[in-house]
Amino acid sequence: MATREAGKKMIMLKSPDGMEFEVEEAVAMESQTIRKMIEDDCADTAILIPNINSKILSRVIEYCNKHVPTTGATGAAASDTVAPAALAEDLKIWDAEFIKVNRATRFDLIQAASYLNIKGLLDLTSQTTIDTISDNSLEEIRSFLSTKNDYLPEEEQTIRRENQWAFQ
Amino acid sequence: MDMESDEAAARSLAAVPGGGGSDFLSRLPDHLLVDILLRLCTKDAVATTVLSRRWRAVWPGLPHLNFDGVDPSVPARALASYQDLAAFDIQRLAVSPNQVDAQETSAWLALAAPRLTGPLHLDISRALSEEALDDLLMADEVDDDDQEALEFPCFVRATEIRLDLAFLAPVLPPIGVFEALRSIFLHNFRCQGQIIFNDMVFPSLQHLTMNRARCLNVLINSNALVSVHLSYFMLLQQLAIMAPGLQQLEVLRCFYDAPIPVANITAESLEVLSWDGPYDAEFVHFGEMPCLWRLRAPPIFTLRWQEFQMAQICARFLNRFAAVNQLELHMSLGCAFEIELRCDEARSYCNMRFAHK
Repeated sequence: MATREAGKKMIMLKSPDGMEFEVEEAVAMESQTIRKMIEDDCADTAILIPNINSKILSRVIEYCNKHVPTTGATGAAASDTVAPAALAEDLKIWDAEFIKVNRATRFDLIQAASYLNIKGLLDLTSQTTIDTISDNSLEEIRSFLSTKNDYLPEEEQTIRRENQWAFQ
Repeated sequence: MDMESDEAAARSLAAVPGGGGSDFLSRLPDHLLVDILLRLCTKDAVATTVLSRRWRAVWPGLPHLNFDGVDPSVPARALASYQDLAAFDIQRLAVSPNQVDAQETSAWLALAAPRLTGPLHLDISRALSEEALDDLLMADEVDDDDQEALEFPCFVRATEIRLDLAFLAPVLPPIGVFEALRSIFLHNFRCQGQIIFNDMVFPSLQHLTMNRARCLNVLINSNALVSVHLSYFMLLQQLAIMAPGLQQLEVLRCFYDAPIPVANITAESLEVLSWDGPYDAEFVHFGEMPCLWRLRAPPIFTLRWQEFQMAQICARFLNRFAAVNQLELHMSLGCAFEIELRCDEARSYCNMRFAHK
């Protein structure tokens, strides 16, 4: 978690269930939505993040903390010595661990990433979902997405006929 | 595909067998479902229609369509149902069929043309091997007129067209204006006789890149063009460019098979000129280029048998220009060889790169 350091501007993020998170401005600005609020001067005290509970918000902040660019910051000497490729590889491994969450959390993260407009997180969460869709049978996908097949059998046949090329 | 996420996905599937629980996805709005499906190729996205009624309505919301490694007939079938269901225009279309089929390709191009408002990427060459493409480029026999034509409709609203055509010959409709088209990239193609770019058909065209072509004549007459890059036009015999706004012109590895290369370049705004090919002042005419500051001259490879000829070409080319700010000259120096460069303008300097081979 972020610790208060001299010279770093902090921002307070509030979840609707009353939790408050103090984060560095740079970390919060990984979210384009928050960045815009800050740039438009709508963020002098605390920013309420609607629809995102504290559990999800803390995960999102964890992600942003990891992904905030270290260049330009005063105390970034440690990461300057690491080659960018190695850093990217490290991030990839970290992401893979980060996304090992249950389905409900993952879909909450998709929604949070979309609302807060954090492209990297949206890519990560959506791609993980897509990998599941690409690699599994229809029934497995339905089960993974918790989608009920509400077609009548003859309707499903029609759909399959219409888009036959997609099932070959 | 990422191994870790595969495993993670497999684990979470195993963790909750048989589904159950709440429908997580029903909490996601349609635009997020579209966002997720956008990461799939369009074929897989359409396959989600059988999941449930809700999913049926999602794929027609896709603004980008992407057909990768599909049968050449697939885009036409997909676009036909997209046309019935979708309320929006196509913002981006990318197709890479697994076979070369001019007829099927023309069929879906005709369906896509009225609806595309962004870039079109078509890569037919991926269906062939590198060797097969090289053979098609270098083929000795002159049967280019018999080559299969690709009927290419008018994309009035497309902004970029990038085609890799496996040496099919694109044929434009007799009428039609590509009003919004700003960039064209043409690779691995041939044309029947000549290829023409003018303001009547391409009024907004700013960037034109063509490479690896079997084409005898290239005629360009445009007020909008800013940059033109041509490379590997092995059979090229005539190049005519009249483009008052042109700032960059690159002609690389063209003309080498032509008995007498003929070029007429009128581009008074030209700033950067790269000319890597035969030059003969009698047949290659450059108009006045008062803004020219950077020049790349034909290269000299002293190990080749044409060594003397190449040096002559280079010297003659350089003689045509009184002075430039930056000169790029590619030489590979195998044996003792001297070349004298004269810069007439005091502030000129030479930027020379030596390639030792």
